[in-house]
Amino acid sequence: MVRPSDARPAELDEFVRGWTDRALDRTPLTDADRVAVTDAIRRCYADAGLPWPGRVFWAPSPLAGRLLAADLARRYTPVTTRIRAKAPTMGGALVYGCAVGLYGAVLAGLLWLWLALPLELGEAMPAYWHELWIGAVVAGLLPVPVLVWQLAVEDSADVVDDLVFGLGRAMAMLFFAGVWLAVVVGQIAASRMGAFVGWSGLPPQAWVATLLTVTLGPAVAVAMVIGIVVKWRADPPAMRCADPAHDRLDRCLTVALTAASTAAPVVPGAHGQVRSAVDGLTAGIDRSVELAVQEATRSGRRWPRRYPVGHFGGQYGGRLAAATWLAARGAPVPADAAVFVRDFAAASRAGWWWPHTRFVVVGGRASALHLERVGAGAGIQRLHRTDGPAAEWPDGYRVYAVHGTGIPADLVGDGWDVEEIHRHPNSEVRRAAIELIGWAEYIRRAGWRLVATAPDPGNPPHELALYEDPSRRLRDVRVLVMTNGSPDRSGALRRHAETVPDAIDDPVAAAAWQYDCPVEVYRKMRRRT
Amino acid sequence: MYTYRTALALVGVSVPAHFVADAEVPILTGPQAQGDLMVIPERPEEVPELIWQPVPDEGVQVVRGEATGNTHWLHRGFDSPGVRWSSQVRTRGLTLGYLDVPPGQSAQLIHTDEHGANGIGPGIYRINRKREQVPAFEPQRADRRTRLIAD
Repeated sequence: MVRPSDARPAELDEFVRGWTDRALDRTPLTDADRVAVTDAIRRCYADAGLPWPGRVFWAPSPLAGRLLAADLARRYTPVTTRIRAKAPTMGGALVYGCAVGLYGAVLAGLLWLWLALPLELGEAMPAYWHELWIGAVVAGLLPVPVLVWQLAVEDSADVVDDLVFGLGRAMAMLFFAGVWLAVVVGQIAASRMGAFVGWSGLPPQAWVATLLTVTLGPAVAVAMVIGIVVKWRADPPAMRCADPAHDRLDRCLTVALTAASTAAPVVPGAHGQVRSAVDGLTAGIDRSVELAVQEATRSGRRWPRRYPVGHFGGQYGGRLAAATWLAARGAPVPADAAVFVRDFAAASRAGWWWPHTRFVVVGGRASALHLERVGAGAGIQRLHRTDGPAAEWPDGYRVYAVHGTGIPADLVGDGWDVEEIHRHPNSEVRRAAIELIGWAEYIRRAGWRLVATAPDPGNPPHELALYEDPSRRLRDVRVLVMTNGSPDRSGALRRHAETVPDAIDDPVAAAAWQYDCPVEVYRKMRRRT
Repeated sequence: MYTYRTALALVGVSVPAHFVADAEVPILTGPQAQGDLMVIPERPEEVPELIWQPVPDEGVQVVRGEATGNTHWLHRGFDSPGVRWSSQVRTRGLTLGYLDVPPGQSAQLIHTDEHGANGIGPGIYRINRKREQVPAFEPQRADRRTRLIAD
C-alpha cells in the first residue's frame, strides 16, 4: 500500500504520544512506581552481568542526583582504588617538581659559571664586579617564581614538552632579566652592602659559594614544592576514579538497540519516524536540563568531576521507542535484546538514574515543565517560559529557558537593560534576552538609527520603518518595524519588529524579502489583514 | 460571497470586535497578506509540475501557529468545487503550497484569531511564510542564516 508522503499512520502518532507522555510525566512518584523502577533496574543489572548493589537512593532532582552520586562514589570507592588513581598524578607531580628543580639547578649553574669565571681570573678586576655579582643573584632569583607560575598554569600534560619549551624560556628570561637588572639593581644594592660590610675588594670564593647555595638552594626547593602542589590541585584527568557499571550498561544497551534496528523490515520505516518523532519531542528538553546541571556543577565542588558517575537520562529516548515499536510490531528482534530494551525503558520511568557497582541513584522527575512546540508534523518540543522557570523539581531546583536556550534566572525575573545584555558572554543568552524584551523595545533602548521609512503597501495609512545599529555591534542585520494589519483581540493595533539583512536599504524591499516575494509584486499589495 | 461571520464560522471562531460581522470579505486576485502569510499570484507558466488535491469540505490547515496555536485555514468559496491545493510543506523554503482557483470561483484564507479572512479570486497563487535574518552576535561568524518566523 502506498501511503501519501505527509500522512503518518494514526497508530504511530498514538504510540509516539503515549511514549512522550510517559517520558515527560510530571506526576509525583508513588511507592508502586518506585518498586517497579527498582525491579527494572535490578533486571538491567542482571542482564548486563553486574552484581546487584542492593542500595538504591532516591533524589528529588537531577542536580541533587548528580551531587548525591558523586558524594556516594567518593564514600564507596575503596581506598586502594583511590590510591591507585592518585598514583599516576603523584608521580606526575613529582616529575614536575623535579623538572622545576632542574631549572633552578641549571640557573644556579649558569650563575655560578658567569660569576666564578671572573673570580678565577684573579684580583685584577674592575671594581664594579661585585655590584654586578649582587645584581645578577637578584636577577637570577626573580625569574624562578615567574617560571614556576607560568608552567603551573599551562595545561600541557606532557612533562617532556614542558622541559624543552620551559628550559628555553628560562634561559631567555635569565639572560634578559639578568643583564638589565644587574645594571639597575647592582649599583644600588652594592653601595648599600659595601657600606654595611665594609668591603674593599672582591669577596672570597667560599663566600660566593655559600651565598649562592643559601639563596638559590631554598628557592629551588620552594619552587619544587609549589610545582607539586599546583599540579595536584589542578585536578588532571588521571585523578578520576571511574566506575565500570555505567559503561557496561551503556554497551549492553547499544548492542541491544543495534540488534533491534537491524531487525527492522526492509521497507523504510516507520521505526525511523518513531525515533525522530520521539527525539524531537523529548531530546531537546533533556539536553537543556543536562546543560543546566553541568553549568551548576562546573564551579565549586570538585567531587562531581573527580568521581564521575555516568547517568542515563533521555539520551536514548528515540532509539528505545523505535526498538519497542519494532518488537511490538513483530519484527524479528532477538529475545535478549527485546528484554533488555523493555527493562531499560521501565528503569528510566522515574527520571535520570546513575548506576554504580556499589549503589544506584534514581530520581529527577520534574514537577512542572513549560514547553513550546515548533515545526511541522510532530515537531520539536523545547523548554520555554518567559515569566518564570521553565522546569521545576520538588526540591526547588529550577531551570530557566526560552526557546530551549538556558538563561540566567534574573533575566526572567527583572529583565535586563541593554548594557547587561551586551555584556553577557554567551551569544545565545544575548539573543534570548533581546527576544524576551522584543526587538522593538530593544532598538528603542539601544538607540538604533532610523534608515528609511516608506508607506506599507496594502496597509494604509501605516508606514514601514527600517533601523540599523549605529554602534555596529549587530552589523549584519537591520530591523524592520511594521504595524499589524488587524488589531488584536483587545482592539490594540500592535507594532512589531523583525530582523532583515543589512544589505537592503528600502523598507518595502525588506518586507518583500521577508516573504521571498519580488519587490514589484509586493508593491502591488492591496490588502493586508 | 462570504461575510466575516460566515467565513469565520467555517473555522469555528467568533468574529473579532474590529470586524463588521456582516461586511463582505473582499475577493482579490492581486497579492495580499494575512499576518505572517502572503498570497503571491503566479504566472501559470512559472508554476512547476505539481500534484494537486481538491480542497476538502473541512478545509486545509495551511499552517499552525507555533507559539499561539492559531491556524490559517484554506476553504473553498461559494460554488467553487474546482479549488485545488498542492502542499509544499516538505520542501525547503518559505512556500507552504500552491493554490489554484479556476475562473469564476473563489477561495477563502481564514485565520482563527485576529486576522479575519481574505478572499482569493481566480488564478494560481503561491502561499509563503515569513522569515527573519538571524543576527550573528560574534563578529567572526559570517554565515548569514535565516529563520522562519513563528506566529
